[in-house]
Parts: sequence; C-alpha cells; structure tokens
Amino acid sequence: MTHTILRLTQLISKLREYLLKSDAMEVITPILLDLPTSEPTISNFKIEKRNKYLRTSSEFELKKILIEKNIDVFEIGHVFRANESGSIHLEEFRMLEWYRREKSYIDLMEEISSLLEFIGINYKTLCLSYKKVFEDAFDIEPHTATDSDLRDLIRKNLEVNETLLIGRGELFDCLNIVLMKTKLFKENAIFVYDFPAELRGYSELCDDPRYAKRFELYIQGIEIVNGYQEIVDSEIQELCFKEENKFRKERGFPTAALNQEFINILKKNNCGPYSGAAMGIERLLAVLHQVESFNQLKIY
Amino acid sequence: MGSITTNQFKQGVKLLIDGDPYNIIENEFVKPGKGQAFNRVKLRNLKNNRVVEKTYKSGESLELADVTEIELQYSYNNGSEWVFMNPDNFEQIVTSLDILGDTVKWLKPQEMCQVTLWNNSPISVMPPNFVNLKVVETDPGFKGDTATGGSKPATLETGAIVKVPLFIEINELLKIDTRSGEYISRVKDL
Repeated sequence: MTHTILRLTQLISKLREYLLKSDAMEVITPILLDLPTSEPTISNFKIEKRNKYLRTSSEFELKKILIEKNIDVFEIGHVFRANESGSIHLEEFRMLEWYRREKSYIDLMEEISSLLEFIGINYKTLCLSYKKVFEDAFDIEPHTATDSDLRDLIRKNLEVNETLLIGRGELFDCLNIVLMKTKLFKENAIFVYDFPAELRGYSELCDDPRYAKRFELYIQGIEIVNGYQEIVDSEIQELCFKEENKFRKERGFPTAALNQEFINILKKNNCGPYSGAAMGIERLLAVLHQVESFNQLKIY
Repeated sequence: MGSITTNQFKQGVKLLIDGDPYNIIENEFVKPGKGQAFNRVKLRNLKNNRVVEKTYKSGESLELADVTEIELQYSYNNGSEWVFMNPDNFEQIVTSLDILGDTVKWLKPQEMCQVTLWNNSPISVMPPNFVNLKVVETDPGFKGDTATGGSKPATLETGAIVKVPLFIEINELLKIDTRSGEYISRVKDL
C-alpha cells in the first residue's frame, strides 16, 4: 500500500466517523445504473454488453432512500466521469455524498465547516454570495449583466473563442475560470452561495428567483464541495430534466431518458425540505497535503 | 496536416493558430463544478518565441502545424544563404540570417545542429551546446596589469567575440558553451 493510499483510506475513515456520529445512515448503492446522467456537461462510461452505465454520482439512489425511508443518508464510494482528466480531475474518483431532511443549504455549509475542522483543515472559511464575488471581480452584478456584457467580460479576461459559447450558463462557466484564479480564491477557503438561476442544477430558487439555493466550497481555488437545497416538487424536477435535455440537443450530445422513477417518487411522497452535498475526496486529500495536483500525490 | 480536439492536447503538440506554428508548453483541464469544461493552454509561438495563454472550450478542434525537429549538418554560407545538409539523404536545406539570429556566431562547418522545420522550412536553428573555435584575433600575452581582472576579448573564427583568460594566444582552439557564450577551456589539438 503506498503512503498516499494509506492516507486516503484514513481520511475516508474520518469522514465516515463524522457522518455516523451525526446520525446519518451509511448506505452502499449500485454503481451500474440503467439510466445515464442527464446533466449536460457530464458523461457516463457505458457498459455496452449490458446496456448499463457507471454512475457519475449516487444522487438519485440516495435521494430515493431519503424520501422513501425517511432517513438522513450518506455514501462514500467511487464515481466515474468520462473525459474528465487533468491535474485535479480523475475519470474515476471517490466522493462523499450526503442528504439531510429538514436542513437548509445554509445548515449544510455550517456542517461542512465543522467537518473540515474535524479532519484537520483549519482554514478560516469565508462565506460570500456569488453576487458579491462576481461584482468585486467584474464591477457588475450577475443578474444585471446582459449576455453581451458577459461576452465583453470574457473577451477582456481570456483569450477564448467566445462565439463558441452557447447560452448564459456557459458564459458564467467561462467567467468562473477567471474567478477561481483570483488571489481571493487562491489564498482562501470560500463558500460561494446563491448561484445565478441559470446555474441552479437541481436546487430550489431563492426568494429572489434570479438566484438559486446552491453553494460550492473552494479551497485554494480548488472546488471541493457542491451542495443544494433540493427540489421537492415533481413538476419542477421534471422541468429541470427536460431543460437539460434541451441543452444536450443544442450541443449535439445524446439526450438522456427521463428519470421517470424519481419523478414518480417525488409525486407520490410529500417530501419536506431537504439538502444535500457532494465532496471530492482526492481533492480534499490534496488540500490536506498542500499540493496543487494529483500527480504530486501519486494515489493511483 | 490534420486536426485534433482539446482532449488530445498535451505538452509538445504543435498547433497552427492564426497562421503561425505554436508549441503547447502547458495544458490545464479546467471544469468548474457542473459547468462546461475548458482547456487553459500556454503556447510558444515558434516563429517569434513569444508565449501566449489561450482558453479553449472542451471539444474545440484545432489544426495541427506541420512542425518537425531534425538534426542537420552545417555546411557553409555565402553571405546571404546558410546551407545545411541532412546526413541521412544528403538533402540540402537553406536558411538565412534572420532565421539564424545569434546562432550564426557558433556555426562551424561539419557541426550538427538542431533545426526546427515548419512546412519543411527552417524556423529555428540551435547550435550544439559546445563548439570548438579558433582564435583569429586577440591582444598578445600578459601585460603585467592584473587590475583588468584576468580576461581580455578574443575574436573567434566565426566572428564571435568572447572573454578569455590573458594567456590565450591567436590560433588556439577554445571550447565555448554556446548557451552562455562563455569560454570553457582550451582544446589541445590531437
């Protein structure tokens, strides 16, 4: 066992310990799924012989259990994302994913702060709204910026063919690259919360519907956690899935079959508010070891 | 020459951008959260040596530049053309002063040089790391004046001028480090 694999295993033990102590039930859900993800920028590995897909996350398996069994759940396991390879990207990586009933996304951010302390990351975390971060960097509020304004910002900050960017979401994605390289991000641990609605994922919208109850944790410019206050209305969930397929079609990607089973579970059960988050464990290890890339860790 | 997509990017790949050949010196895959993936790339323009940073949307297709590195033997020059030869096939490749730049100071006939070709034309020439060159002009011997710090200029057979120790005489063969332009040692003729 290499030194780093030992450390990775020890980190996972600590994460598990924290989650178990806090009354979340550990579950182990299937890795081979019938449906591919509908998220437009994520690709599954497919097992052609069986017409199955390697999971890109445990999201819907965990949500099903939370809703039907009425328990807080977590899973630590391998997930697989095709074509994501780089200094902090692995096609196969380990994720901690968990969901809590009656908790808000703000509650989850607080929990993550204490989780970080528990595993020995003693960064003082900043907590900033996406609006504030964006405005400080670009001198304009994200919701007042027109697509044309966003394209101007992109042209000013990056050498990129911005005519290839389709839709407002992609313009924000592109500007996020600039934000993550700023001194503020490189030198701090930051919770960014209340994302523009275009980047909502599966999160509820805020009282101000131009923003969504989504947060991310960045440590030294590396994205470690993504979290939502989850959608509970089956019609809104169905709409999100359909939007994603529309997005896929616009870019010439294959569309994904609708996760009708999950939509039905939401419809059948009167699901109260719940929130969830997912954390990249190798990245957490990189932060603990103060390295900027996985090949400095030599995990696999 | 063909094209590649961003997921084939890596160090050393040569791309054609706005009509110029570039070498990828750094390639970073960036994917913020659940968003679109990009490649942030540092590139060196092989014609003017300048480094630029560009961002590409994942999946973007780029043209490959027809760039190869080859070892050629320097033959001679006639003042306007510098002639190199491929020792494998005796093919001659000609280039000029504006491509050679400073390298011309270290070119000695029969020496092997690292040449970068773009569409079969030289765009840069690297001399060997060390070259032995004869002194054609220098002030004679010691002058008894140690205040000069123990060195004097010497002109070599290529026209290059280097700082040498005071004991160096005309016609001596010197080993020169072409990367720093410095005298290393005398070479005893065998």
